[in-house]
Amino acid sequence: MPGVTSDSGEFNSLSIVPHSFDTQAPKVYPLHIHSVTPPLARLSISWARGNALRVCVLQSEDTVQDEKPGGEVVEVKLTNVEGGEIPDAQWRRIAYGSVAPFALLQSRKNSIDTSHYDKDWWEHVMEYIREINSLLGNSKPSVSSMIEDPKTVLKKIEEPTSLKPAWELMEMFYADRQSQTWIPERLLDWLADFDCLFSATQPTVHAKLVAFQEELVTIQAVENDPEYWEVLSSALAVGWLDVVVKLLRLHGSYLFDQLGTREIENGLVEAVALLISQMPRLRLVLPTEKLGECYNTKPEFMKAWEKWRGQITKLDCSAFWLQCDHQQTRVGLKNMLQIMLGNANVLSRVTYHWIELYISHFLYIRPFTVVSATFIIQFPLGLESMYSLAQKCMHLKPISNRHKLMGLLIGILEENTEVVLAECSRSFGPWMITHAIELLTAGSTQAEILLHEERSKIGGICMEELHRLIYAQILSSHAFTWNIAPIYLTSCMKQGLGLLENLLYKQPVQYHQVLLKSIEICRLNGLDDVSCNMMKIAGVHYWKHGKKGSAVFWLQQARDEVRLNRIAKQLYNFVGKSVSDESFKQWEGMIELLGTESKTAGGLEFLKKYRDFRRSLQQVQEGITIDDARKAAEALISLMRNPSTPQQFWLPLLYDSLKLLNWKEGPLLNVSQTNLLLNKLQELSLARLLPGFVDAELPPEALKSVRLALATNLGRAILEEGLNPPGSSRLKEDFLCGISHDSPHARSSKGGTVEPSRMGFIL
Amino acid sequence: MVSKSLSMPHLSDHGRRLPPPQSSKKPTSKLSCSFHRLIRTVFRPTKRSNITDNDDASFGKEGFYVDRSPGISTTPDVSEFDGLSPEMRSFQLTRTASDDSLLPLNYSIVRRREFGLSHPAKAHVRTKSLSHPLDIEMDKPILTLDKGTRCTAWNYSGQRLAAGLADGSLVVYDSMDPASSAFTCTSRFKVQDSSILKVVWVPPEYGDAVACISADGTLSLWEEVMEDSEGHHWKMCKSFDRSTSQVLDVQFGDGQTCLKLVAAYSDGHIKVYELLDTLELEKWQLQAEFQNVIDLVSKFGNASCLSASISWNPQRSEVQQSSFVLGFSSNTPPLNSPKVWEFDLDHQRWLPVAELSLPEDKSDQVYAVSWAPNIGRPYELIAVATQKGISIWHLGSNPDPDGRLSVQRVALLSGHDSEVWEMEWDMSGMTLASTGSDGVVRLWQSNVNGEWHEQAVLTPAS
Amino acid sequence: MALIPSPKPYSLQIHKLPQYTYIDALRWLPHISTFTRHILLATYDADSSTSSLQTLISSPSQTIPSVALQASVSAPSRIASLKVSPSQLAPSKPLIAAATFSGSVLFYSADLINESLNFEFSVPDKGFHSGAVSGIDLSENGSECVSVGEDGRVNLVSLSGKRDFRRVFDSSGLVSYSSVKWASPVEFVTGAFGFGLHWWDQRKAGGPVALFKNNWTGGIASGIVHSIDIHPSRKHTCLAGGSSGIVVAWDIRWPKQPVMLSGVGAGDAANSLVESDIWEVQYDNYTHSSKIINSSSSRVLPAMICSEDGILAVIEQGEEPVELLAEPCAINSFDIDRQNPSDVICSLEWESIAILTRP
Repeated sequence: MPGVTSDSGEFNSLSIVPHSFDTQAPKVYPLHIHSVTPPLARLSISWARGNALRVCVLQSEDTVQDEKPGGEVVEVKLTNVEGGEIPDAQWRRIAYGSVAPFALLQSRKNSIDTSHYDKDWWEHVMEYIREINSLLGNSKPSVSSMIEDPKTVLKKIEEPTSLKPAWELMEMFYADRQSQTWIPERLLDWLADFDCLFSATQPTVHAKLVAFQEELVTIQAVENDPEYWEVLSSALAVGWLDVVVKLLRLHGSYLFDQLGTREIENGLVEAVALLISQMPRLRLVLPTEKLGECYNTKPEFMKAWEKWRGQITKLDCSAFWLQCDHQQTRVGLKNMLQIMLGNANVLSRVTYHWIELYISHFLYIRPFTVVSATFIIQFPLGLESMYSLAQKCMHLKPISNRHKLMGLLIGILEENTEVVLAECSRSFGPWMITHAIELLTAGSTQAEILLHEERSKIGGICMEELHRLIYAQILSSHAFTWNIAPIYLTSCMKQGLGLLENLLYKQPVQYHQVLLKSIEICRLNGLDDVSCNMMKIAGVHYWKHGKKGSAVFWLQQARDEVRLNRIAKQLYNFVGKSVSDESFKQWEGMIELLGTESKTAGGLEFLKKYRDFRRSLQQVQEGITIDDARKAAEALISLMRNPSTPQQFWLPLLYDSLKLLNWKEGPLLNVSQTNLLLNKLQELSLARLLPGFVDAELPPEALKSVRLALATNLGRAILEEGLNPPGSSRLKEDFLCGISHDSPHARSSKGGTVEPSRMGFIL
Repeated sequence: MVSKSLSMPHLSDHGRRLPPPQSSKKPTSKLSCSFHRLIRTVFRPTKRSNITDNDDASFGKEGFYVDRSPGISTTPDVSEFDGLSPEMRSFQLTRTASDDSLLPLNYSIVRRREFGLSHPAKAHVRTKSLSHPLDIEMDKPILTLDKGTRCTAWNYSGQRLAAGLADGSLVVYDSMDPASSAFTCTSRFKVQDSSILKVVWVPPEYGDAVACISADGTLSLWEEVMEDSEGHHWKMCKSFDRSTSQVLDVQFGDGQTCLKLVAAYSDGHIKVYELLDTLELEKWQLQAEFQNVIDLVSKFGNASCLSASISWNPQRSEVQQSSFVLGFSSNTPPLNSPKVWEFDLDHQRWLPVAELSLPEDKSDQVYAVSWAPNIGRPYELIAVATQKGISIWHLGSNPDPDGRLSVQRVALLSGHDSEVWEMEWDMSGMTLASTGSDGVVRLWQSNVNGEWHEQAVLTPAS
Repeated sequence: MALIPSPKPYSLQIHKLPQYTYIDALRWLPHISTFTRHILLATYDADSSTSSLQTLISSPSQTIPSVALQASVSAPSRIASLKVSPSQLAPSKPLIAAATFSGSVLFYSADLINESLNFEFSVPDKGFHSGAVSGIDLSENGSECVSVGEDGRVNLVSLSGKRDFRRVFDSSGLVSYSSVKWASPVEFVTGAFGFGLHWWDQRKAGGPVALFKNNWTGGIASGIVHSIDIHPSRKHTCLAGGSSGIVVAWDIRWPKQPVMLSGVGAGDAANSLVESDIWEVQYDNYTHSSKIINSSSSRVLPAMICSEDGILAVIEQGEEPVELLAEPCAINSFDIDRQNPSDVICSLEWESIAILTRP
């Protein structure tokens, strides 16, 4: 079985993935503390947003030095990417850039039915792959354009990150179905781009070339330098034809002065150069800067290849070699011919890294290796031969420490999706695995089934979702990237929303911007109760911190009637309770805030009525028209009727409106209205006896004068309503006399409608 | 592109060079004729379209070979697909990128066969290889604490840290900005004379407030408010009357509907208080008082508990009844084992719905309990730390006839081999972090196969 | 992702330039030469948790405008709002006012020739604002700076003479102001929570002279006014943008009839454009000649908006909005080059800025 075969013999070093986990001891990481020294009293832990763990290290008491602090807090970010390769800012750029392609692909996936081999589905996938790839490509396009510095360009070429090659490997084997007919050539191009990555750990053709290029400036007659020929054959072996030809053209025999004497030699060189530049290559397209002749279909290619090989053999056994008296040239060229003729020994001699040997085998020994484009569908068929060859090459070129790309490549070649996935997540991190899953599932049925199978052991989610959750968690640990996590979470069927809610609950909503952006996320994902809760938290925070306006606003937004009512009660204690009070101006704004909200204002709606009443009352104060007065009276009554009018306002209201109660041009309130007010007054006097009664700070005679006014008004009202029921007139008389000259016998006088209690109460 | 980077910039330096090959082809001397002959002999089209046998032989002699096999179609295991191979071979050879029409046909067949073969064999590989290992990206110090700090607590958003000091004062550190990880001390005030043992933040729906447990066992609530006279300041809004026994642990729960406070006392009693007024933290009402035992009738008089650990179900839904898990470390075995308490609306009382310990471990003293956030699992996850180690429990969601929830211990993890101080789950409930008297932080995870294991250890190092 | 409305040969040019740091605010600086433009950025670097002001120099002559850092100074806190006023005396030294989240206003002068940013002074924090300063505006002649905050205070900072502030109004937290804009040397307009728009006149102390009833959303939604603009040629009309995609023009002369340009209340095609917060509004002077002709004085001038859901667009009364940019991330702020209104810069949530050149 693939995946098991790799565990045998000396390949253990290569496939560390499958059997790493049972025996693995937990990795130990030092937690760098600076100001605190052991002995430590206590460690205390707390998860911040996402996967950031805050460890609080407390200094133990017994080592008391005065300069020492009591402890320190260290924040640790947990992730499974081997960090350092890419700086944070770059990572964020990649994270930002991959959101749109990912989201687009998801939406298309949902729209298209699951027939994955639908044509335009493939186009979508390829578009996705290309966009991600371009993202990984040049790390800083803008910056390089911003700072015109060629160095950055060079640097970029010298050190590509290992993300791009990994992505391209998976692209060529899993997704890009057009390239599958010419995988060897794809691999060749791939190596040409990324061989430099392996140079760091061990000798490579690339390293040799770079080294030689530096010398080149100083060397005069290159052909005498053995290096020259080594580099030539190495470059040829891995198929960097353009480089080879360029180098050949540096051959001394091309020089004017030499031409006469060394024409045969030059001829041979040129012949080899031409042969190389005419090498048939089985691929769809050939970039202009690359040499060789491109053949799309295998039959044509085979024919061309035979022909080409024939020519090489011809040249190899031609007589001109004898006439070439420059020994190095002869040997060197011959050696190159051997390479082109596929001499295995030579190939393994001139290549360094096993992958280079691997490529050279494809080029010159097994030129007809074609991986059918159907191999994807018939996993694990198809790569067997490539895999066995890879093993052979690794035997020949064992490597001390393996580059993580090799692990991925082997995983792909042995067609073990588990290994591929594990390598992805282990070596390239959550970002890679999350985005590569799209590519794998699109390409390989095995991968798709593996990734979409629900697993009860991890809470009933599938691998795909698991990896998305992990990635989202990493995103949410940074203040700049947390708000793209929702995109990935909403693509998680089962647990995405749950995690999103937890994420939102951890947002510091006392910061205006954070709150607004969180609410927007809730709006987009229909998490109304979550946003309500956040607005509640904000409202309470503002209320407790003296920003009453914002508090009321957010609690209104949250439709939190309970708290609004409580707030109302407290607010009234602040409200100035007399018309003269200037401070009431401040409230205008608040009242505006409550405004014509269709939303609940809780007990606060009283404020508006109160304001209106005061307005009209003020008008009464200034210009006196009967209409104003009537309006004011109406307002007063409606206020007193309104249950939401707090008790402590009753007396002040009445006191303020004394002018209305004893109005010159006859009473403004009819009997029933006056009775209402009297009842309120009575309630008040009863309430006074209860504990917790808030007494309005008013002149002591306030109550008395209000009573008197009400009594007078009642009397006049009765007069107004006048001469109806008989008997009422009698009452009226002694009632009035009772008021007018406040005589004791008036108290004794019994009145029909005015029962004793009321009488007593009035006086 | 490597090819570009190696494009010999200094090529032009050697100026005397001819631009070959064209110019070198000019017919001048007789030598050049010979040169042309050479070129011709090499490039003249041969009559035979392909190389003769003796050519091959010569190759063989010199140890060369040309593998003319069209890669795949001759690989041995094609024989697996006898039924398919002919059509597929042709298919492969004639294939161009354009024709997808054939695909669905042999797609399904092959797919089925392929999985029939590989599935069982691969099972073991998968479980091991597919996990999500952790790694430490970076660790950076974000703040240094005042002298004599005894305990700390972060608020809900990790923007504020409250630290309790040995001299009984409380220090609050704030970050100026949601994105910044720079913290500064914003206020420091005296809570009481004795040292502060534990600080717990009140849920944010009720303001910026903390509960402080002091060494003398008193419990008090402090709140940050702004009064027009003096700016922001912390004022005590409630001091729970000091009963005979000390408060060991306190946790707030159910932030949504009505704030509840559970306090565990050194005499093994549990008190549940309810907040009466959503806006004032002054008014609390004792809702229930009971002991941490399954059978509600039995009472234990002279119990003395060293420590207690409470953890509310972090679920924030109104539909679900509020519940918490509580365990003691006491001299009275029946009190120790962690029990899950749920509020029974119908009878308005708290009921023990589950006990998280195996029969033989019931008397084990409990160091810490922690209820994992549930983002969609069908079961709840609770971690319990005793001297036997950290055990992970699954708690079923639907109760059996007599109201009990099914429990299952899925792992017993040994690591700290000593007292466990704290345990906390991350926001997804996938990773458990723990600290203990061995002075390290340990991180625990389950792999894809549901096997829990220690993933990483963080050891403080100067 | 840039969505270009018309694929004409002379179509809109968009260039996105990653900054690798969060952009809190940005402004064009006045031109000093025809070959160079200067951009002012208020940035925040999370890795070092430091905020700073930067001037970038860009050369529009090139096909791909490149920007280079010219000068940078670190700021004590993150910048909530940024305003620039050309100084009459030295055109190469514009005045910069920056409101901070920590509750102070900082004044800088940028020296575009000697490539430096110089801190001039900051308002004494004592009793200025408690909490963040949510909005500031510099008067036309740069002699006064009005500032508002969530604490409900309105302050005036005088830049001439003794550089101190005076309290215009203090609602002691009963109202929370979110934005402010000068209407005339003595008048300004403030936006508040609950879609409150208040018109202030320094000659009349003790409170706003006009309150804009917030019934223009028909009570469908309440929200916050994030940004206000007033056109120098039409000082009586104030343009306000805020929550749930609402953009309204309020003419002080007809306070009863606000003109809804976009948002839930608008009830026509306009409201489908943006549903999320509108972070900034500015009158768009860059209009085609035809529009200028038929735009009567009663008609609201075209306005540019940027929104949380990543839209940068020009909206005009009774016309289909023109999308200049549709980003996958929020567009937090933008600025139209006063001297060359075809150029627009905007700051994208994802740590980058975009430079737009309109045909």
